[in-house]
Amino acid sequence: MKRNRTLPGIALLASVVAAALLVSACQPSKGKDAAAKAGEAVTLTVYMQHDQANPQSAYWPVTLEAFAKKYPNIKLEFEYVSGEAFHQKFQAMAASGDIPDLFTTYAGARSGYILDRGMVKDLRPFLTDDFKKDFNQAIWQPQGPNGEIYIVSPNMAVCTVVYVNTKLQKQLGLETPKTLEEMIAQVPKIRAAGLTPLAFGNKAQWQAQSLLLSMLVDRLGGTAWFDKAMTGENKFTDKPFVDAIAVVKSLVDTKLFPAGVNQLEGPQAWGEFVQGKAVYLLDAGWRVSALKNAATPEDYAAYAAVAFPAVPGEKNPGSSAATLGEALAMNAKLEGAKADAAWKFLSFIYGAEGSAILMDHGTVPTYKLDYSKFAVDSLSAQYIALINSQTMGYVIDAKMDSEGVNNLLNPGIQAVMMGAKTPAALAAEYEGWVAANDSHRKK
Amino acid sequence: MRNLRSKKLSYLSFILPAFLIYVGIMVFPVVFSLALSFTKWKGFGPMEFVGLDNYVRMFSDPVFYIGLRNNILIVLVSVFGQIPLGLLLAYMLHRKMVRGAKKFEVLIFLPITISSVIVAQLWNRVFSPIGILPSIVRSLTGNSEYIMTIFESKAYAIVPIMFVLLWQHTSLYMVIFLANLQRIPDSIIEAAQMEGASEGTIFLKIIAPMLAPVAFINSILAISGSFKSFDLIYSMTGGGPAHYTEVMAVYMYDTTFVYQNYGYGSALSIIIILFIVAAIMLTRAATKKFNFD
Repeated sequence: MKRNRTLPGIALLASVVAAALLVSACQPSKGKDAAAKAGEAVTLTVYMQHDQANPQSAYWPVTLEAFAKKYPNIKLEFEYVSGEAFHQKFQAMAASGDIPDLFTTYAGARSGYILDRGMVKDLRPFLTDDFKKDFNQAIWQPQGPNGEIYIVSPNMAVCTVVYVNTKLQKQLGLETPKTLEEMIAQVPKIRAAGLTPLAFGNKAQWQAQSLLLSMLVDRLGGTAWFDKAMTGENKFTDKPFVDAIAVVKSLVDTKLFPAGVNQLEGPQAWGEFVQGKAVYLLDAGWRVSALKNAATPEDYAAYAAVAFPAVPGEKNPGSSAATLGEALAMNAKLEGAKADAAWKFLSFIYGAEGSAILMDHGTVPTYKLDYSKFAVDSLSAQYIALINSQTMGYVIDAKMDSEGVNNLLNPGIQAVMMGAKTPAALAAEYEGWVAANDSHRKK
Repeated sequence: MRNLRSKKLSYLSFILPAFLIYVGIMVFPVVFSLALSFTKWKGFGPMEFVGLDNYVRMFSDPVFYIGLRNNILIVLVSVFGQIPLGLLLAYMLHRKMVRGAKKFEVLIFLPITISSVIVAQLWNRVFSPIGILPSIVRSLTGNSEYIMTIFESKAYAIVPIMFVLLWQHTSLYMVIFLANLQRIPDSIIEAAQMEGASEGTIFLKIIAPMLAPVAFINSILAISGSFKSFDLIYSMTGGGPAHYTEVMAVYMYDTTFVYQNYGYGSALSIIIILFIVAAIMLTRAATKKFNFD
């Protein structure tokens, strides 16, 4: 019997044509000219990553109401999308070259699809010294290759905080350690009591890099060293980076960390702390509200927030690492009345008025407020005082390309912690990958 | 002539909807992946044609080899673990060698009805450093720092996952074998018993040959399922620690969607497809050789 070969042939041809069409659709296209015309009433379109059903979004309608009252001539048309769907739709908009006037942007690779295309306005012409002085200065770190500032981040994700159970400390007769050596010296006493010295979970792999190594690299090298490592003037095989990885390893070797730290999930680690099974907890700043919800009021009142203790050879004493939270940014094409209206909106929601509303709803903003006017619990107050007293280093995964960090550095740190790799070997592997592949070295 | 032409058109109108759906959801993604595998692309922005670079990289990528090794081990545990065990359990149930066969059947079948994500969470609660198993060992041995160090071994970290896969999927093959066992007429077995055949002889000389074609079908299911292993491993370990439990599908997913390297991720997906096709062709060849068609 003669076999019909036509249909598979057509199928293949159709697929090749469709694939070619899709590939060509992904090429950058020239956008339409969207220059705004000045007028009395200005309407701005806003595409925002926002979950209106989330209880933490309660501040937003209040903010908008206050803005509408102050600027009745500025109309806003919102489209809210949450989660990954926000990025999927926005990538399609960016590919078509047609994006709204304002849109949620991350100061990093997550928004690369609009930042790399030059679609986001540099806000520096709007940012006067008078405006900038009232914010935590860490948010004014450059966000673009030429020092551009794209967003006024309303919150910082502070990645390294040590939480202390002062009740357990008192029971064991311990003081909060100033140095890492002092903390390590407490290990035998804490272990003898059947407790974990420093609760930490690294099963998801990113924690040791984001919550620990990033801070250590800043302590030992600083942001200036890191900037040069990104561009290749410094190398990740340099002493600050290798020593920082060695400090991570030492926390395992000295049994500060719980046994099986790479098998322990983050919630399991802070769950142990809440259950009173660990004296210290290494976690991020955003854990405060979870601790408040999980612990009894008496236990919560006994928690303290301190900086990670001093490590030998540090150049940046007491620093932490932080990355900027996402915020609305401006379309690069906005000019004239539309740009002025957009800046009024951004400076309102992220400035004094918007930040006060945010604080009222339980989130600590980057804008410095008079906290005595707000109902702040003891741990939150300590946390605010702590982060306002610290300099902030970079969080490595917010700066470097995702593949090198997630595929090589994060699993490599686990391998070092388990004794399967040396800090120097990991540093050499990472430097090799960055030199060959990372976008910062290719500029 | 016109009649023949209108017949062809009517045939085409019947075939076209299904054909378009097939092309859209089966052929197109594969062809698109193949095209992407020759590029460097972040999922947005311009694509860069890189020829065979992604494939060259793959063969010098240690993580790819860890994934391949683990996939092969999972295939082995599926074909030589799940299928024989499924057959044994089905045979025991069919021949009523256990009391309360129905309850036993439900108990064995239960794991396959549970979502892999839940299975992963369940076993994580057992194996975790603060889980049930380490807690029991700690209380029995007095070693307060006991953990399951097997998860930190490059060579053996995959073993507990293989055990969970065996636990979860054996029941599927058991049910398939059981359904086919029930199709074998009782009269054949009764005749063999009257001739004085032992239980072992009945199994080896009657049951096993009659179930051989089913075993081959199960093997195809097991092989393709093993290469596609994703949900359980992604939820249980995410391929960690240090890539020790990586499998190709998880690595492909991470490469594409987490590292945003669509070109290399597509090359990995093409290799996974080739492995599955090769393994199934091998099984089909064996089927023909032993006349089980």
